[in-house]
Formats: sequence, C-alpha cells, structure tokens
Amino acid sequence: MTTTITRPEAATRCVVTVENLEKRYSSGAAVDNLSFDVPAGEVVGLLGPNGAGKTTAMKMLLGLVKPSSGTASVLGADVTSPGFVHASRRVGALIEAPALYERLTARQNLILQAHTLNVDASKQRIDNLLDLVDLRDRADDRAGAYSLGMKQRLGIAVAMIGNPELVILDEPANGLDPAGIVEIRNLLRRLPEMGTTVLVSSHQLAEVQQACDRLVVLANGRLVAAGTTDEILALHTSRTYRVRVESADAASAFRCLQAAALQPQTSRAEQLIVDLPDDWSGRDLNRTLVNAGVFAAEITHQNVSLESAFLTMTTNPVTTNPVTTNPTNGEVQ
Amino acid sequence: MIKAELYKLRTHRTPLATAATLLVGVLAPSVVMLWYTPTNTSAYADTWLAVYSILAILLAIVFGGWALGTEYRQDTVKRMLASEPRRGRALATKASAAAASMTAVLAAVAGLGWLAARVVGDMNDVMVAWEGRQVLATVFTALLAGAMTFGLSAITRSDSFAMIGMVGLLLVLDPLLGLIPKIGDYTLGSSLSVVSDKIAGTASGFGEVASLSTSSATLTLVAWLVAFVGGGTVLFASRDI
Repeated sequence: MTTTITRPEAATRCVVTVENLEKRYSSGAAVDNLSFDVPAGEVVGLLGPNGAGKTTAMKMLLGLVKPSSGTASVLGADVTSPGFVHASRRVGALIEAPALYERLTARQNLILQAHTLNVDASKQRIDNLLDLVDLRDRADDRAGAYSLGMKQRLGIAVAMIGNPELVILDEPANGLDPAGIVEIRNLLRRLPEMGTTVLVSSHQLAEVQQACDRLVVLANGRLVAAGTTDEILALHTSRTYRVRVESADAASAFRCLQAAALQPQTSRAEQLIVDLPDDWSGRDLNRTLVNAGVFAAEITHQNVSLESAFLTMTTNPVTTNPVTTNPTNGEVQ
Repeated sequence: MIKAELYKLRTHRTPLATAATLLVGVLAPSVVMLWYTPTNTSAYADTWLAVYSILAILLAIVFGGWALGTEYRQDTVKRMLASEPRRGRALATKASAAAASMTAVLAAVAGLGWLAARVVGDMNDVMVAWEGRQVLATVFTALLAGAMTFGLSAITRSDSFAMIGMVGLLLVLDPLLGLIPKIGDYTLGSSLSVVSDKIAGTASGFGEVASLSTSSATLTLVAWLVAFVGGGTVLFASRDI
C-alpha cells in the first residue's frame, strides 16, 4: 500500500519537527525512522495500535527517553541539546496516566506544578485552570479520590499550568465513559484557541476524527501516513454506493446496472450495493438508473470512517511507502 | 524547583509523620519521668538521647527512601523530569531540600528533647557539650543513612526497596561482611561507628576495638556514599523514564 496525500494549502510554523527518529532496544525498534511535523495552532493526533511506538515517540519529545538516532526538535530546540531546557518550560505533558500526587488536592497539585515551573501560582490562576477542566467544585478534594475522568482532566490542567505553547497528551481519553470522552474532546478543541498546539495520542478513533486537524499514523514503530484528517480519509474514500429503490424496481435496477458493466450486489430486496469505477460519479449512477426508468428512493455514498482507514493502514504496513506533506512549504515528500 | 520540593515536604504525610514520630519518641521518656524518678540523674539525658539516636536513623532511612522513591511509586517522576530535563539538577535539588529539611527537623527535635529532659529532670545536671556531641554524631549518622537510602531509591526506582535494602544492609549484610577477616574492617557499620564515636567523643559501644583509623574509616564511608549516591545519580541521569 502506498499512501498519497495532497498538499496542505497554507505554509505553517512547526512546533515539533521529527526527522528519522529511532529508538532501539535489545528486543527491537520501538520507533523506527519516524519523521513528522506538528504545525503550530493545530490539534495533531498520533494514532497507532498498541505497541506502535506512540508513547515512546512522545517520551522522546519530552526528553524522558533518549533517541538512538535521528533528531527531534521541540519549539526550535533539539531534545538532546542544552537549549531544550528552556523549550521544555513551554511544553506541558500528560504521559501514559495522569501523574498526580494522589494525597494532595487538585489545588495543591496545581500549586506544586506551578512552583516546579516557577510560574504564577496565584489563586486566580489556579481557579482559572480548574474552571477550564471543570473541577473548581472539587478543587479541595484529594486527587486520589477522583474518578479516572476527573484525574485525566486534572492531568491536563497540570499540563496547562505553565501556559504552554505545546501540550503533549498521551491517551487522555483512555478508560473514560462517553461523557468523559466528549469533555476531553471539547477541551482539546479549546486549547488551540488559547494559543496552545496539541499533540495527542488516542485509541478513540471517532474522537480523534472529530478533534484533530492532522494525523500521524504509526504501525510497528514506523510512519504509515501523515496529513490532515480530511486528507487521510480521502485516501481511503470508498467508491461504494448504496442504492435504495422500490421493491418492484429492484430487478430492473439490477439489470440496468449490470448492463452498464457494473457489478451490483443485492443486500436487501430493495437495496443494491455497487462499487463504481474511478470515472463514474454518483450522478452518473443516478442518470443510468433514470435512463432505464428506475427512480431511486435514495443513493448513498458509503463514507469511510477513520476506523476503517486506520485498520487498512495499520494492518499491513510493511510495504507502506508513506508520502507526507511538509506543513511548512506544502511540498509532498 | 526547590520551592516545589519544600512544598511537597510540607504537604505530604510521610515527612510530617516521620517528624512527628521522632518528636513523640524523643519527648516520651521525659513524660514518663514525670512519674518515675530515676535514681541516676544522668538517665534524664541518657534516655532521650538513646531514643533519639535510634529513631533518627530509622526515620532518616524512611525519609531518604521516600524523597525520591515516592516519585517512582506515584509515577510522578515523568512529570518532574518533563518539567526539569536537567536530571542532575533535579536530583540535586531534591536531595538538598530533603537534607536541609531533615537536618532542621533533627536539630529542632534534639532541642526539644533536651529542653524536656531539663524541665523534667535536674536543671543542675546540664551536660550541653556532651549531649551536643551525641546529637551531632546521630545527625551525621542519620544524614549518611538517609543519603544512602536516597541513592538506593534512585538505583532501585522504588521507595520500599530502598528502605528494605538499607535496613537489610545495616542489620543483615553488614554483620555478615563483618565476619570476614580484613574485609570486615571496611563494612559500613564498622567505619560508621569509628567516625560517629569520634564525633561523639566516646569509645566504641560494640565492645570491639576499632581496627580502622578515623581517616581510613572516613574514606571508607565516603566510598560507601559514592557507591550508593554516585551510582544512583549516574543511573538516574542515564536511564530512560
């Protein structure tokens, strides 16, 4: 499978630039020749099945894991350079599980992180963050008594305490109920409005599809696709149409589509499924039916979900030759 | 970052509980002596110092293991190092805050213990110089034990393993090593007793004549300290989190 991605329209500054990044252990490569960019002001999703290398890649961006080779630059500083110390002050992170001092209250956790970063720990600042994650009412409860969703939200607030330009969130919706997932999604969408770029990994594909502007898809530590969410989905656009007709017209519809060299399949008595050739559109399909005297009650394009695109990309990534777009200059690489 | 470390110490239970335990333990003999009057007046000083010297070392092991080990146990070490990628600096800050707090608590509790013994006992039986040297020797031993446990927590990435390891070293491994001719002279306990006795101005309390000179014992202690704290620092700085 070869991934082809159309060029982004606008040139953008990148807050993360990863080039040929690798992390090798004795058991093999956790991240293998990974390259991608995170444009400023966007929500970028890092997708991949378990063991794809998402967390390792994120840890390398935070300086928690040393790369075996390749480069990773965050806010203009190489993660292995002394200058990364200053850049890291402008990065917030939530890695694997929310790292909270469970004996401390939410407020104390935030004050502690503010002291760590030597930033404003005033009551107003803390209250604003608690409002952002909707935890103001429980601010003085111990974090250990929180539900998983509340812990995740507090973890995001901790990541946001330093007014970061970039937040790196590893599976922030993991283990949450549907309401919690929606809360996290809404929160992610609000962060760019506050000037914060978001790099988020997730298994909640439907949520990623709604929350992310851009996707980076990994499998077995390797990049299999990168581009905007629409571009990724467009790559896997289905050519399948569902045609619903009156039961009496089903046989006529079937015959006329066969006569047009299509290969319709009957899914139900009044419903046909047909894959169109590349030079056919839904309009052509409708015209063919009308010319045969069949008026369809409904013609539906079977939209592809990110889930099916994800499965297509990650189940057989070995032969993948990814083509990514450079958000800085829009060139196809 | 030092502000954050001091905030952690103020808001977590373990440091507060260890300090409170030490204080209660040290004041307890004086409280008991409100009802029981010892025949020997030196017991007023001896008793609180005996409790202090044992509890201070045990609690230093608990505190030393907790200071870094709790970050691993709560998985907050990632959060800490994502905020401060200079790992040597992060470790030094944490160690400094822990050492300063421990010293302050040990000094304050010693002061209160001394005062309580004086209030309850005979105010004429004041041995400030002697008691001061005993306290100094205990603080030295406690700080060393705490530092080694701190280093061990960086090596094992666990507070409980570090505490158990340190207690095991002092109570099990050290006596066993002491049985080996020559090598036994360089055990942690042997060299520590030589140096702490020198500070306290007393003879070895274990009945055996120390075979190491003070300078050799000091060098041996430095070697033990370097092995634990240095090893922990190198591993902390180089390992992936």
